[in-house]
Amino acid sequence: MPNEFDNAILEFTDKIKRTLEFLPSDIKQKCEEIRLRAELPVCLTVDGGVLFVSRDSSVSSSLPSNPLVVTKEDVTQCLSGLCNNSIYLHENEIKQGFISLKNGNRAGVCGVFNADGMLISVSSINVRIARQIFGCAGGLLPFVGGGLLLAGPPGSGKTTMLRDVVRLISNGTNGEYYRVAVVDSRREISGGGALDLGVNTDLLFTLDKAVGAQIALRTMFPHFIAFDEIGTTDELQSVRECFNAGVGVITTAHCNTKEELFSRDVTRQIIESGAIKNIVLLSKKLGEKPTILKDLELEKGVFN
Amino acid sequence: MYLIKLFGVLLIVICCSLIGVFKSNSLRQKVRKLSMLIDGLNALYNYIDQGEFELNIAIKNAFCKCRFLNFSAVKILCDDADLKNEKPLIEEFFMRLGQSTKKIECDYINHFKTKMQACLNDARDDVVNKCKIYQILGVCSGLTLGILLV
Repeated sequence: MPNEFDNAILEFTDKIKRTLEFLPSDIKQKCEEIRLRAELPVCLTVDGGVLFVSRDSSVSSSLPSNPLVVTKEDVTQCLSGLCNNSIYLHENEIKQGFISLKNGNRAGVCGVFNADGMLISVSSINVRIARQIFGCAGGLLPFVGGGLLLAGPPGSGKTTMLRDVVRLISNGTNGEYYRVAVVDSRREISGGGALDLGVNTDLLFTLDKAVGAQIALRTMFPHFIAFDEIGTTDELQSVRECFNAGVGVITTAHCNTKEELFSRDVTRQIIESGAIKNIVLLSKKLGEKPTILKDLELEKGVFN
Repeated sequence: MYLIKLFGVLLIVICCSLIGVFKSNSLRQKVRKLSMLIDGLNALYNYIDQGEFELNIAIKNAFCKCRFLNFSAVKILCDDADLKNEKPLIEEFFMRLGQSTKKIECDYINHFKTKMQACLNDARDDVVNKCKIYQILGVCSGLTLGILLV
């Protein structure tokens, strides 16, 4: 039965696919990213570390003597394959440097961009593999009420946790079937509808999360609105509107440490708005439990 | 005896006339197929401009009536005898689709449509100028052969 890794490499060129499909199964299970760079070896991100792929489908943490090197032509063909030969359909996404793929995977693209922001020559592709881990957010359910922020460095599992929180509250795990509206700007949370987000979840696909949140608020009457990677002033404003309307917010933010959490404008403002009372700090370190900051209040300019 | 000879001559005249008719019919078929291709290009332009379908679905929808195109898994082929001169152009066109932005794709389709329109105009001129000639040549050569053989 094909797993997430095999699905992610389906659109690669035959040369790359034939080598990657024979990688050890434990590597495939743990692989978070597949990086293709023109005229450079193929790299995988596994458990936060970098592994190089050899032509004989083995992997090593140092550069091997027979690395699997992709040509520029390979990278271009992979991009075309990932877009299903329809680059025009992904124009807006490519201008932002990514492509939404099937099953919630996302490919970051890098290369030469013209004055209009369109990619004219691709040199790197980074395929992030989406994994749905059922039950991973079970321990966070008591903290969803009052607003929940999932914070952590890249690759710490924020989106995976967000996905599971939405699924659990939508499926009535808390004793009630809550209506959840998910604003999915990059189709990463829902996998374009391929992933399970619960029976009582409405999906809104739009590149502008702030607008999407407002639409969801006005038309779907949710108990909770969930979206990924809050970062702009407009999104903060949407969060305030949700809070004023009595709608809970579940979102994520990039952050490496607890101190950074309170020093970054975005996270500080979101806590100050009162829309977020609980923060879960995730870590990339294997086995390290997340830090939960609950019932946050701002008192004399200091969070307690 | 004369009846057999007459029958033979008639047969030769009919065969040669039919060759002329088939040849002229081939020109008319070329006009019809090129018209269908241009209609398909217009439809494809709209599908891509609207950005609603992936390329393979847009192509199948736009060219569903063009039975002279062969939609294989790898590429689109045109093996029709009436379009043998346009075959390399048509196959190259489909091979290069889907690699660019919407604007460039639409411009590319328009550019190819202009080329096909020129081919269509030439084919229509051929129908006007050559069809009758082929038919007359067919009848005349049939009669000549018949007389010679008699």
